[in-house]
Amino acid sequence: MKKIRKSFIIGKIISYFVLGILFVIMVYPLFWVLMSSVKDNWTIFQNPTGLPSSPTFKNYQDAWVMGNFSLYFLNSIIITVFSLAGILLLSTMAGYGFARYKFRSSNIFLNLFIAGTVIVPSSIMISQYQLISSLGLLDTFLGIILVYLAWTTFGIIIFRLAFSQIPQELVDAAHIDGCGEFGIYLRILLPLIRPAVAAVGIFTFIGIWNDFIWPLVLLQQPGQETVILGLLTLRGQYLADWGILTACLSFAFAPVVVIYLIFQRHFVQGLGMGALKQ
Amino acid sequence: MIPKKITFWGGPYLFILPCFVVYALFLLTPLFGTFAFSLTRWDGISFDNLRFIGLQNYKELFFDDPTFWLALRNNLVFVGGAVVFQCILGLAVALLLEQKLVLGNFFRGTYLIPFTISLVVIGIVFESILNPSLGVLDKVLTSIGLEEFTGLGLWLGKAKKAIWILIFIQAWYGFGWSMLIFVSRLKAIDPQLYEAARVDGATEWQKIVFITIPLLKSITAVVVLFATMWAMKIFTIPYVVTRGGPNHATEVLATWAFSHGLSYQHIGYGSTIAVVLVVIAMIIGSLLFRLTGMGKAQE
Repeated sequence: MKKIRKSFIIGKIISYFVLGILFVIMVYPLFWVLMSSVKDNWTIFQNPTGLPSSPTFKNYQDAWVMGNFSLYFLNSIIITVFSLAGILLLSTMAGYGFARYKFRSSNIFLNLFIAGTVIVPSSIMISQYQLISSLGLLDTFLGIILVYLAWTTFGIIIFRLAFSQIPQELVDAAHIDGCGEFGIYLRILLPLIRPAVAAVGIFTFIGIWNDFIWPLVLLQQPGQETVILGLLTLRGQYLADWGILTACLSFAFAPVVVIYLIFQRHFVQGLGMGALKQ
Repeated sequence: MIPKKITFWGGPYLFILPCFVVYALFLLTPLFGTFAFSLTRWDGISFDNLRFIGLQNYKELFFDDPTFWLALRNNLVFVGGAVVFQCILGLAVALLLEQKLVLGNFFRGTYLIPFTISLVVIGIVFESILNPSLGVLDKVLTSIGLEEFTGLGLWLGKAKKAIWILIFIQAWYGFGWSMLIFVSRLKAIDPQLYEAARVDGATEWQKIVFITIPLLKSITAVVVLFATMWAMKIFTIPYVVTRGGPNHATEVLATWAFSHGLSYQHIGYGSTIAVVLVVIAMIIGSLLFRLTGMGKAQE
């Protein structure tokens, strides 16, 4: 019995050691960015790994005003909010349609949507650029939002499943109360699948906020940059100004990480659903 | 909910058509466009200059473009790196986290943070840390007594070594995801199995080898296939950190397609490279659908 106890403790120590090293590797780069962002450039050069002795928020101020980050933030928020709202509306509706009805070509439609999971942005960016430019939507927010609105596959798969698990009696009862089809979807059933909407929503939000390929390809006018695309512009401008660069990096990753930490449960659920739904 | 049998125009169109129109226009159309453009030579400026040249782009790509083969090879190196570092480490850590450690949930939560951050941010962060004139990494390594590993920052400028830095960045980003998928599958294992093994006198190690590992087979295939798909479509990390250099040493299919299709205005040739990407993604995708049963549309 004593022997088991001892190997048990050694096992725990080794586990904590391995997990602790990994923790440092995963967190230190971000920690370094946050630390440097509150130091002035000279201090970073003199002692890049030291803790800030007199923290300053001047870098953030400069990034926000001189580096145009206030504009990039606004652009990102407009694009993300409209795309997210549109995606959730379109994919909950389609998910409801597939769960509620069985029609002759429903499987064909559904499979066409599911095929979307393998169409990666980097493989269609060239012809997407031509398509958007021939529609006259190049360098417009409408163009890029429309492109994001096609990202509905994930939502459809999740929402179809969530809707089909709602008891039939609820739908029947709503019918008797004289609700129309759209009313049943919007007022009775949609509120019931809120957890699924939250999971897909948080996931889609992070995906669009972080996206790089479509802003790079579709928004080429100066002043239209999203936060992520703007980082590349700023990297060119402030090449050796580590203070401002790290402040910009913090601006770009801090909001998503905070949102992830708040909605961690939903995010983890969304991840699991993507890969594990049998 | 029991699906109601009905014709498409009797109701479903109202819910499905809006979504499908957008999807068809902005996902299926560019997909077919990629295939169509790959059979042409076009500068992308005026349709008058568009010429149909059959399979000539493919001939050129396969027989006269060493950079294409280099890019494909680099993609496969990324696949190998992603599978080894990301999936094996993910599995190992998931097994460690099975022990109900006090800080287990905390570790699990932090390992997933990189997965929520944009690859552009991640690329620039590592570029800064590795920057030789700043020397952050060298300082850290020296202070913990690992002097012999200093100078990693210079790897980005070296043809043979740059790609290993990029693989590390990709693994740093994706490792948490693989771990999480394994953790979710482990949670779904029936505890009675372990209990039965314990009654029969199995050791902890035997339980892992004879119960856990065999039950993880199908999810491992899923994780490996997803990681492979990501490693094939990889674009942002090489684009941001090395721009495919030095001298194409970190070029991958997506960056090579971007250079031709969007920088040099070789719409046809760029699309041909993109078709290769599409075909590979479709093969991996069809394997995934078979494994997860996602392709089974309705029961």
